[in-house]
Amino acid sequence: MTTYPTAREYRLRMDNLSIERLDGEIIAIDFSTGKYASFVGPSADIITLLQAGVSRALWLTHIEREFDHTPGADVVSKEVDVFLATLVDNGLVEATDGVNGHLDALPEDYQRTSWSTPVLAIEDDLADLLVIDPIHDVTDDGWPSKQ
Amino acid sequence: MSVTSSLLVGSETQTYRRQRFTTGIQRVIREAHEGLADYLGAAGASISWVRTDDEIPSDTYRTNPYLASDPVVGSAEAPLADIDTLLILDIGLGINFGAIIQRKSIRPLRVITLIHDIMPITHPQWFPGDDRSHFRRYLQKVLHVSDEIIVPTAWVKGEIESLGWRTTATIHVIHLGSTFPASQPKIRPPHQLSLLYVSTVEPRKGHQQLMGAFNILRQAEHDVSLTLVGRRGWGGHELYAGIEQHPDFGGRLKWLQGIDDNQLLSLASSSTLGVFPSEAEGFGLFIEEALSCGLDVVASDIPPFVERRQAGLWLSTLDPHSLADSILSAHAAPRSATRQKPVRTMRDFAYDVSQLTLTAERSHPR
Repeated sequence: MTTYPTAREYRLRMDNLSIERLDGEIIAIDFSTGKYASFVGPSADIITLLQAGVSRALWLTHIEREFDHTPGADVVSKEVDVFLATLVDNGLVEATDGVNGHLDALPEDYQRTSWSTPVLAIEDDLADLLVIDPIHDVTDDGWPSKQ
Repeated sequence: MSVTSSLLVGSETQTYRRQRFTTGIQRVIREAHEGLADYLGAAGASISWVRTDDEIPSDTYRTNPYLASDPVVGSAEAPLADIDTLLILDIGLGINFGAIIQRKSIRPLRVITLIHDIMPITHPQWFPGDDRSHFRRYLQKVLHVSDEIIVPTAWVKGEIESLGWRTTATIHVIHLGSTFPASQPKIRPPHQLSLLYVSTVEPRKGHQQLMGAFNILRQAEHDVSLTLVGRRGWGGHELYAGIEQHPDFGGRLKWLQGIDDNQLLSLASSSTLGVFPSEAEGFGLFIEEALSCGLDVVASDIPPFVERRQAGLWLSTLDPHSLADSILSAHAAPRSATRQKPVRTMRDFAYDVSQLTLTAERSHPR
């Protein structure tokens, strides 16, 4: 059974991992497993806070300041704990003794309105999904027609 | 013995081998391979093709005589485990980056990647389906794995840097060039305007604006013709219809697809001006190609073209009236009989890439 994190600090496991953000979405690529993790909106913001090494004690301040509506500190905290547990289970984050990072503000790369429960989406290596290569396999009839 | 004397460079060609047609990217790879084989060979190094995945290599490229004469894909395959430097010149969405990282953990392996542009990220409206999503994952992996990144213009370098993504790679701007032999500037008949545009036909390439300029010139009773050369790209059904239903189509307005280099050179010799009104490019080969054929070129004033200002290149804002004015100005301008500076070629590009490859090896010997 998953145990929920409490007051501990966490950090991203960066070995063989590429994590980049674009327009409110973070893609984490694990080169050791070939899997992708996708984080959109609030979940991307949590990853950004983790990546910046911001203490968990300050996360709620960021969230409440930057979202128009939240369901309240208790609910958000519990949802973040569940999300962190999922990240730990998937080997993306690990506990650490302390963090000392700072973030003035979350990136203004999407419209934050209401807080929503952060979720982790895992995809297998896209190479398996690329039955058609959209850059090259374009015919006169356009994409997606295989040459 | 020098550190480069036994250097083995592997060029990842799995996507390239599956191509039947020659678009800009295939032309760049084909010409780069030829130059690299010569320049690396002269330095005692060698280049072969390599694959990072377990897929059976395709031989489709052999159906295209131009691609079939590529000296690198025609050589013996080099196992990934044996190479010292991996070159990624194509957009290889199927490349196994995990395998590359694994090899790098076992023995030194320099990875040099050419990023042609990042338009699927910056201009997703011009690309089909989930291109942006696929391409961003590809770019993220390239930035993570590469030691050196080559971009064709400072514009592309700036676009990559503006993402703010992390990479330990050094980004090098190395301009591409013409694949055609240099010709001296053409003498133009004073009243005849024969415009030539070589590019895939799709909305971002500015054909709509060019057709508008063509109509303006026709209405002003100029003796003008326009020849478009290029395959259909993506998302241009309205554009195709606009060209094929134009009253001058088949007469003063022609659209040729699938012509070879000799036919293209012949077309260039009977044209008076090149045009390149694209809305966005990573580089845009047709500027140097047209210049090397002795044509002046009227091009849109987008950053990757502006940074290549040179004799014979006329820049215009991208609206039909400005284009028409620039075409008339370029046509009327006096011409020198020779170019003061040679037009850059793909041999120049290949030389620069070979020097980068050798320098990287000397800086980080095995």
